[in-house]
Amino acid sequence: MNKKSKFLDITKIVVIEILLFFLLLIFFKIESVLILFVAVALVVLVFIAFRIYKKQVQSILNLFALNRPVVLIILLILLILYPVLSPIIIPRGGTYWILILIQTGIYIITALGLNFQLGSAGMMNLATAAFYGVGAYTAGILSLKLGWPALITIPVAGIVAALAGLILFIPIYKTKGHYLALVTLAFGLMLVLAADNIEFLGGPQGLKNIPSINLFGYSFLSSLGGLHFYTNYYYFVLLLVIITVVIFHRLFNSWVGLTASYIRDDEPAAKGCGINSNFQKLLIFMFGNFFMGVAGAIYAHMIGFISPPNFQFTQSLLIVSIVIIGGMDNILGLIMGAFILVVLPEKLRVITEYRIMLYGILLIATLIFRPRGLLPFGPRKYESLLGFRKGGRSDVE
Amino acid sequence: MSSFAIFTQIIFNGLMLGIQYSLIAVGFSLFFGVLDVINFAHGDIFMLGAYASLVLINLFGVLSASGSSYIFFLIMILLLSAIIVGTLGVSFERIVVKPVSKGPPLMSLVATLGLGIAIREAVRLFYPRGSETKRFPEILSKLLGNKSLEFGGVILRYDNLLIIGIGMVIILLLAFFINRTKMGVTIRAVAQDGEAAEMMGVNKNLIVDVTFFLGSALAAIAGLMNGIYYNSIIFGMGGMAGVIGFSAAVMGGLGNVYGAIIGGFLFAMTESLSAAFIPKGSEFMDVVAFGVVILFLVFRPHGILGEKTYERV
Repeated sequence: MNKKSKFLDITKIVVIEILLFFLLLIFFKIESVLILFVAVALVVLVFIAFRIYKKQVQSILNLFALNRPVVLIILLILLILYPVLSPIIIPRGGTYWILILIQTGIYIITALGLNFQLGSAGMMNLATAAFYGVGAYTAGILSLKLGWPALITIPVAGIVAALAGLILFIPIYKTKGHYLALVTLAFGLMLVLAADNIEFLGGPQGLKNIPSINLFGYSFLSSLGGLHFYTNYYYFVLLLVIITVVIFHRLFNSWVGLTASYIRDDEPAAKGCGINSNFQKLLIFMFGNFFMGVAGAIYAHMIGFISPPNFQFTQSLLIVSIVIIGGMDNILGLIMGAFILVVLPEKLRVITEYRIMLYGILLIATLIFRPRGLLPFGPRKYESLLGFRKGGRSDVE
Repeated sequence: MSSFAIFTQIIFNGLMLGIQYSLIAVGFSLFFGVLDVINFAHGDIFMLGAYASLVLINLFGVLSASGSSYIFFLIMILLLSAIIVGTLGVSFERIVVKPVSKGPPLMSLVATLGLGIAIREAVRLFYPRGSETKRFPEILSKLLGNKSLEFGGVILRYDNLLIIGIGMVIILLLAFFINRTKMGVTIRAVAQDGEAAEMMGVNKNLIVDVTFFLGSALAAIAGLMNGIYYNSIIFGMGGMAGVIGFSAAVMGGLGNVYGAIIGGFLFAMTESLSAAFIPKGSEFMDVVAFGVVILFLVFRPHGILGEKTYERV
């Protein structure tokens, strides 16, 4: 490929990404219901156009796949620029959308933890929000009662959430499928009921005035270059999301991910191949929980107030549906799912009343028409695992 | 009160709740048998049952009736709400549950959870002032008065006794239906091996419909009982009921109807015993009950009456 066409490709990518980014910003800006419906109609039209011009779309997708580093760098730049641009383009509610994006980020971290359990290893965990709550309460208690700094409470919260998963080690050994779903569901309900009734944890009132994050003397409550203080959290969460995505991407392409998939697809066969599936499952469960705990701790520090209703079963359901709607064992799909299920309902606030019902119907419709999620995961590609990269042949697929 | 009286009272409360839980759990077990699916919307079907009977009571103006026509109205409400909710259950099955049951099991679980949310929200939005707690009329105490049976310090309300009696009759009828009728045998055959049953000429789709009708109707009756027992209903009451019903079905052994009934009583007894004997028990009773469920799954994963399954390579 000569230099000129390479340059042309990169320009194309830049233009497309910036265009998409501004479309998203405009979508945030729209307030009137009518225009919102027009926007939805446009999206549907675009999808139909995709169906008709398959070749062109495919060529664009190929372009993105071939120049992945460029795509990611531009995406990163746009994401970093977002908090600066948002208040300018959306004078009313720009900071609000930053908050929504932070929440999306927190959900992505949680859902990635769940995806490792549910998507990779096939272990249903309906106590996701409860483990997230364990992290939040740990961070709250440690910083309120002991005055520990956030830099320590966040990882400790993750570890405590992982240890809370360890309590379930016998059920994890012995049950699977629907039964494991029930065990985790019951465990989650137990944790929420317990938090509601233990006075040390604040009971139904929860914990108030949890201090904000203070990183090496820099308080996250101070404004960053004249921007709203949410911007601090935005960058912090962005960094953590990137780290988490990288970790899980590497894990997916490692023997750990492969072992997990083997256990998910055929556990007796995996055992037959000498995999200690019980131990692996426990590790996977605890590792996933760690990230839920971390996400919970960030939430607790940012909002400053937590109470049991924040961590109820409906929250778990939201996180599970992020993983399932996006497509299991697929990080890109999961991020898409998080955007659909967290950002879109915010937009639907104009029809507040019917929001939750629409969410239920959306869930059903997705699963009826695309039972494997929006971006179902195809067969694994073993290139990176077997050590050969681009251009190498992959015989095993 | 003597310890005997306290104990009897606890057992009585347990029976009262146990009837309701059993009727819900039977649905979970039946559906799992014929479609291999956990229908998490079943708790909300139970809630629909309570609302349907409330609507019927208001519609008929039952409370103004008297004498033998009053009894007739009560029976009509029981039957009509069961039929209405049963039909709704079949339509939900046709639209949602059966299509998703062909996919991976966890997907169908999430889809039915979504269905439950949709039903709950529909009631909240479209029932007049649906987000408030609704008062359920005390239709039985009008029939029996506010009297109660007293012996040795035990106080048993007559209307509650009647509910237990009706529940027992329904459970016996169910057992008869499952065991002795041709349809019951067919349902069991489909539950055991759907494909083989189809090869023997069983119309599986019809059986699935019948099963969902039966399960939903039983849940509706449980909803009516719940309304009479607590005198109040709310749109969100199905969430916890669904989880409890599922737990009871699992404790008894998924797919086994008798197991579900036993599981329902077991769960209710655990709740009422822990409410009585554990300090701060009424707050922690569900914590204890779910702890028992988890222990059950650990030590008897296939439930009390469930068949033990082995995985073959």
